[in-house]
Amino acid sequence: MARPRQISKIQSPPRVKGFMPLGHYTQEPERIVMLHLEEYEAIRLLDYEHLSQEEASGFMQVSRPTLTRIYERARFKIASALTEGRQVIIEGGTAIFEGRWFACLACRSKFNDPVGKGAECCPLCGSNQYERVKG
Amino acid sequence: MKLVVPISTYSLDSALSMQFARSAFFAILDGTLPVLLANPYANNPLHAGRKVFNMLVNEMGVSTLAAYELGLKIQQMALKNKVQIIVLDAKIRNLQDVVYYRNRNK
Repeated sequence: MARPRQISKIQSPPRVKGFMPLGHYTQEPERIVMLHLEEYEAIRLLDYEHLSQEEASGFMQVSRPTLTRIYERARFKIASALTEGRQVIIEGGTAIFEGRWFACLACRSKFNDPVGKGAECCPLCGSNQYERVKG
Repeated sequence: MKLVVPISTYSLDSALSMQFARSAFFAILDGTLPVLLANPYANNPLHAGRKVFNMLVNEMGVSTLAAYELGLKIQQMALKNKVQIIVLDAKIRNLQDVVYYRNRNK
């Protein structure tokens, strides 16, 4: 049996659920690229924040070789989405968020619970209709 | 609860800034109307995130940071200091939208 994938830590949920190509594209589920949350975080830390692999692996609490594998998978997925004009959905994977995160169903903002007491309502719009964002 | 959002111009209908620590202005929402202030660290070559966080949280008593995207260091400092983070949705485009949602909260 294959060893289960290591759980990595990510700081906050991504702003968007995914990306769609402009022009002619297909919405067939098998053509959609599923970018896992840990892959998104690897791209964010290494290519956007310009951290070294050593630093990024510390943030994600995985070993550096594991981070390299996650990063390679992420780059391949993004490259295939770009060249083949496929939709990208960011979800799933083996990541957990730092702290608890919620998504407001009214204003669609995401917010965390810094003290760990549990959220009563959305801190922006006050709506009590929110759901837990799962890592 | 004092909430801060980064804005790009010094006006009540300003668009929200894509950056946080290097945004030109901030709007602090505590009462009904937001208080606008210039960011003195917007052009700092180094440690803008840390200085902005200290100014907003430790000196001005802000308890919630709301932005489209927060830098790595500010996020780390917010988590460490138990400051709440709001990742704003793309449909919230300007300060008026934030004020609208915020006033609905009251």
